[in-house]
Amino acid sequence: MDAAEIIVTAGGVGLIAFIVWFFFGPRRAAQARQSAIGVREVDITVRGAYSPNRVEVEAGRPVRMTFVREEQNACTAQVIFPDFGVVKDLPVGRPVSVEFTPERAGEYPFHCGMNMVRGTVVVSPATEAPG
Amino acid sequence: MNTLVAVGTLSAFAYSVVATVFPEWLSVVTGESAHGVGHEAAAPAVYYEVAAAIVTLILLGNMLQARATSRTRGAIKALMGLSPKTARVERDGREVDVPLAEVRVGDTVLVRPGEKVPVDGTVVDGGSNVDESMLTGEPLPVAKTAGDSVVGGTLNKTGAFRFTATKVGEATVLQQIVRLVREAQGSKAPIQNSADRISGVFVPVVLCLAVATFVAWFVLAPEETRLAQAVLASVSVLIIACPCALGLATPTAIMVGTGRGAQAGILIKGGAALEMAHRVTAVVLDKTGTVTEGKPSVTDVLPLPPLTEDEFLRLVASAERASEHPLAEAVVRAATERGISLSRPDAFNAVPGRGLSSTVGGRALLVGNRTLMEEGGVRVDASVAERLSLDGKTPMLVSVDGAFAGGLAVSDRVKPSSKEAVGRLKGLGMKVVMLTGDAQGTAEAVARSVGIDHVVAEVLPDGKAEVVKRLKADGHTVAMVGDGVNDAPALAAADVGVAVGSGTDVAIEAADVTLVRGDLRGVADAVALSKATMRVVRQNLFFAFAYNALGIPVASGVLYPVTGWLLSPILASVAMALSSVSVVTNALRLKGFTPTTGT
Repeated sequence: MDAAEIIVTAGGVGLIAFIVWFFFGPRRAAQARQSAIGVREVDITVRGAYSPNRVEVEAGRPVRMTFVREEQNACTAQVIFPDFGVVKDLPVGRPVSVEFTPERAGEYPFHCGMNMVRGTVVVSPATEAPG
Repeated sequence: MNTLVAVGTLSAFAYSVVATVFPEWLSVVTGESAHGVGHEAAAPAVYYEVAAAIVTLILLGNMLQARATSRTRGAIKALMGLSPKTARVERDGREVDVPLAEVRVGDTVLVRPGEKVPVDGTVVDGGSNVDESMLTGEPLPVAKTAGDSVVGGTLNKTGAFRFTATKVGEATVLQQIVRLVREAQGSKAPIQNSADRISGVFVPVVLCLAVATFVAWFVLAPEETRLAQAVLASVSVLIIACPCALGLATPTAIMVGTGRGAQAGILIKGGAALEMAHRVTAVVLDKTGTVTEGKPSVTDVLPLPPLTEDEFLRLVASAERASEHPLAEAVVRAATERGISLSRPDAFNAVPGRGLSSTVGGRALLVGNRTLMEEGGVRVDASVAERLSLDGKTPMLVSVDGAFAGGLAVSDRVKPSSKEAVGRLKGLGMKVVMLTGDAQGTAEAVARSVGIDHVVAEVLPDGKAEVVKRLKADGHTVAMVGDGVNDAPALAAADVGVAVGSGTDVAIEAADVTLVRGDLRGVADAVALSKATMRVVRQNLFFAFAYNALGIPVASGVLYPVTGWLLSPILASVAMALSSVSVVTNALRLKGFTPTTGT
């Protein structure tokens, strides 16, 4: 094995480790902000992925997630929240709001029509009375 | 997909830029001398055209896929397009056209020939034939006169009529169907879980495979070509991998299948219901309102002396007045039609599954089946009971003041399509069971007339679910078919609950599958549609798995040592673009599903 091969092999192993860390490593969830009427709100940009793709909210509080699709890619033309029975079309550039109230703590996925682009709503147990 | 294509094309492009601007760098890596002794070193190859061709082909594939995918949502668009934009209503004594959103419950709406019915309502005057095929699948126009219900989105054919709006906006049947189909199309079928697990890790796994391919080629290939071959093979791996085919395999088939169902009057609640329906091995049919019309009428009145026919009917109908049972309605209707004036019962007690006890004008009556008579200690004249049970009629035996006083026969006409439907279900290899609270003889006569071999008669309302559970315990996957209102526990107990509506007056949320048209053939259609859809899902999943499982290793060059084959990235992009289009096109075949024959 010459020097170039050693460098390429070591680089390849390092790159694979980086890919694994990038896709499966721990990530932080975005916190929803609270509106004047007590609704937790979060804006999601749709551009090849949901940004943010992890949203943290509290159980028992109404949530409004507003999606803005900034791409023509047909993959993301629809967003689906299977646990809440929500299916919405996302026209390019037009904000579309999805509202629901998660009753129980847990992780609830949302995804595009063909389930390739995904996100998660992380619902933590209620800490205080909704207000 | 975009991540893989972007990384792949950028790699090819970046390599080419380096080869153009700093060729000596690559000569160092490949071990060639840039300043060869005695001859000029060959310039490293560049792959600009590969990057350009890949992007072009992938975009072309995306366009084809987007067009095909939008066609899978055609059913929803068609349903939403059924509503007219305006309605002609009476306001302050004048006829005015108002936007649909301004029609209120209670408005009087006018519909002329050729116009669409704007909202749901009840006809107050006039009459016409209305084409309801777009919602029920019923090909023949339905006659509408005063008192009949009409549904928004249907097409008025011949006459003009006025109706009172009873449901507007989101509450209309059409909007409920649109909502249900939209939710169904976004729902998951359990079969999708395996694809989901793979597509969840697909992109990082393929990126890792591409890196491994690069390293393997660089280490194993001849020194002078190793870098170029490592770049080409790893780019091919990135490009050929198609997560879209996996992601599209199930949802597109579910979308087209549920959409096609909705157009034929078969509303399927979601992917799970669709998947379960194709496994059904036993179909339990509730007799009344499902196999039969559900509108019984009195056919025989057999009083024993000294009661006359009218007096006998007066007593029984007066007792039945307080009951909401369909048989009671038939008796009261028969008495009213004969001009008999009824009394108010002094006491009334419904005995579920048996009949009723009542007191009319001081006389104690029992009206019901043989069990009720036996439990009341009444000796029944067997010949009367037998005559009343002939030809599948339901006998209602009567005792007055503890003595048997005769009986009535009530008949519920078998739906014309039931026999064909049962034949088709049996043809699909299903065990068909009829369930009824009627007497064994009556039930068997009805079952015989439509070709059903298995009858469970004299079942109490809460016993229906038990019958379903018994069949499940025997290893059957059971579909329970009922009217969706009275059979709720049995529908819930079954693997697939099928509610049969009458016309468009239907409880859509009641079951896994709702047949808008009260036609039993819809059950066979629903099963055939679910089988066709699941067949397409399996074909798609097999294709998507096989494509990636074969394509990625071939692109990485595993066949090279044996055959010398190394896939060009351009060919990889062609394969990738075609793979997702193939999956969607295969799903679109379900649009051609015809309710009577399947695909």
